[in-house]
Amino acid sequence: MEKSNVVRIELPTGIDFTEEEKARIGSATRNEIVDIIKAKRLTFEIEPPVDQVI
Amino acid sequence: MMKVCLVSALSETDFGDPKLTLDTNQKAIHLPPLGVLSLAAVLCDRGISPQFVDLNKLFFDFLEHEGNGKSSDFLTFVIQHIETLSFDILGLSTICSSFPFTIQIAQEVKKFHPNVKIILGGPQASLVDIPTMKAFPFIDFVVRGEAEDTFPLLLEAFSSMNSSLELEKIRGITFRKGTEITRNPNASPILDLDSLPLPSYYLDPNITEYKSLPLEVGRGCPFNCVFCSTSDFFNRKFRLKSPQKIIEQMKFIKDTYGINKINFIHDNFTVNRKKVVEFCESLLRCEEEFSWSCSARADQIDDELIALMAKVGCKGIFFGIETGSARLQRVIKKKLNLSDALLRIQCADQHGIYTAVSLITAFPEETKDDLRDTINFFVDMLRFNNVEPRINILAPLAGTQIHSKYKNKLVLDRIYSEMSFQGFKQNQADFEMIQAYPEVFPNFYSIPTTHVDRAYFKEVRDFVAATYWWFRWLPLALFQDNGDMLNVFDRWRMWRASQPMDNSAGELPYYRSRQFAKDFIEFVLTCYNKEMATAKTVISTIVDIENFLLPIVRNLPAELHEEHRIFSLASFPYKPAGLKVAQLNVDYKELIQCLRSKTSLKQVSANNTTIAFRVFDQEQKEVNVRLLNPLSKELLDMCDGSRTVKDIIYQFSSLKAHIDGIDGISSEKVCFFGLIQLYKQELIEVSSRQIKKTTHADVLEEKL
Repeated sequence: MEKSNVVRIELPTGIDFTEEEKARIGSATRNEIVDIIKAKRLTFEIEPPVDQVI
Repeated sequence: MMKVCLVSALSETDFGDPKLTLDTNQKAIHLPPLGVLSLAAVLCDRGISPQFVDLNKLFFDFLEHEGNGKSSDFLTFVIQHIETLSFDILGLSTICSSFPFTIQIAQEVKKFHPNVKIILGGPQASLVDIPTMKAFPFIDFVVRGEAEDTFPLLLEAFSSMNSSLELEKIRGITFRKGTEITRNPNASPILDLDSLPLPSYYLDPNITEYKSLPLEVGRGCPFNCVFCSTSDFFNRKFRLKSPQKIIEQMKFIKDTYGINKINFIHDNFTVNRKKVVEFCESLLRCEEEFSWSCSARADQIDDELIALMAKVGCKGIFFGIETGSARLQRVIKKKLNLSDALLRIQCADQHGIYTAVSLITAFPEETKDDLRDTINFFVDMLRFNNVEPRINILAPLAGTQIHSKYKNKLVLDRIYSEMSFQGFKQNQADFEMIQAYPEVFPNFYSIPTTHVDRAYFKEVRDFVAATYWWFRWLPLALFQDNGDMLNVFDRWRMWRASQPMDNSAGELPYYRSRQFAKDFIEFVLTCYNKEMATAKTVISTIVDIENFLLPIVRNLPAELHEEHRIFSLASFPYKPAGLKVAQLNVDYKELIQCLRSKTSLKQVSANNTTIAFRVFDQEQKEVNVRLLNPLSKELLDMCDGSRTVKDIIYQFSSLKAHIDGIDGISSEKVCFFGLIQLYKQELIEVSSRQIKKTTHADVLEEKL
């Protein structure tokens, strides 16, 4: 569910990451997805979406 | 040769306000009118090229005109359009919800073109042919049931020298013989559906613009539910096209119109398991990518079949469950085992198949306990991510057993089924017609209920549907906490009656208005939590979550779009629109697991957690909920659009010389990499320009 590199990432000159560093920082900054909330999606028939009704 | 014009039935929804209707329908899923296009294909095969009027398309055109103040009413608009065409025969397709409107079109055409033959077809006219022709003398013929064989025979009879003799031989028509109305015997159902041509999709000028196309894969349902009218229309004769034909037609649609999303039209696709398996295996072998949806009875499908269907692109199943009461299941002759049905829904959910679970309430024999079971079944569906529960008030459709039984007791109390509202909004002329001819328009009437007041049924229905509209977890949490959603409703109703009236909902139905959402939250916090809650902290936390979610999902502002963005030291990271960070008092992950698995909410640990809600997809509005670790939270707080990555690194490093758990790695590196992680998780965006401190997310916060 993570974003691909739509934006080009430029590493600052002189900064480089070893695989171990990436793994350790990655682990410390990982934010787990705990829920995916699907807004009401209308597949089979039509009802007014609430944001249009209010 | 006679010139034929076919008019589809109006099926789009009119909400009264042109802008609202246009905006709403733009977001909805549209399908071309399959019935009329199927008949057109048969005529084309016989060398007759019919003209085609798509009333739904005309309706949108009308709304756009009306917005410019150019038109007065839709009927006039339709007639003006039809007047531009030249025809001898006008064939009108009919459905119950827009039948009054169709009748008015027929009347207007006949008024100015008395020689044009007016023929009605489709489900509604087929079932109420005699009373319709008695009531409306301008209707010349009704073609009942499946029209592909009957309609061409009727056209041939018109050309015959002995027309009236020929008419008597045509099965499936109702017509006038002098002053009498003659109803010929029913036509046989078309057994070989493979022999029918593909609908003339090409007649629809917008055909390539649809997101998905309907494909009829079979007809007829062998079951005998008392409320269902389609079993009568198709003679309960179950038929399915051959797997080869279905796939051939799917491929044709994909190759010709570039559309690979197909809605299978069949009341009950999975009745013949062997054929469905054969279809799935053939589809797998053909190695083409399709996504498709279908309808099924929950007891005519099993987990193995669901898995196979999912594997070959099934993305949606419509399950008519009808009632959550085991007793009523028998009364209405649906006879589903509800525990088994639940397992099938659960299985479809696990395979990522989106299901619509449809329920009906206000059956004449329905008791409060039956209603309770249905409401609780509805709310229980919210445990699943891919299930959309629906609930409607019973409509006594023509041709149903329930209509036959109660037709002399129907009342016009305007406590309608949603079904009656779909299609064109009824005006005064419609109401007068409906009032005068109950046998023609029974779906607008109601069957009196024995045990519970109909207004109560309606309010419970509106309430439970509204809680689903407005909230994600709250109704389920209340149900799980209390064990009975109807009990919650009764207390809510009492509480609401004791509150000063607020008319800010205006003309909107109260339960559709934002005012309801606000009131309900107040009820939960000030009444439910004090009097009824067993897990007060959890319920309060869920109210907090809903408060965070509401403005994100409902008021999503446009994202800033910038081309050629670069994530570098000079970039300005900012929190995007649709992001909300919240502090909660309980463990969110545990809470959701409890709700999904029906375990006691009292077991949820009290634990301070930081949660980020992010609307992930603009179109489908999917919200990702992430549990933020403290380091990410700190970094995210600094991304306000006013500072560059370099600034943030500098400030972060001056505050944090050492970061727990990441010994030996410089804080600059941790900060830079941490920001990249936030970006990849869509928790921040970057701009090449400094943006104001007041970001979209802050604006949202103010709206709260």
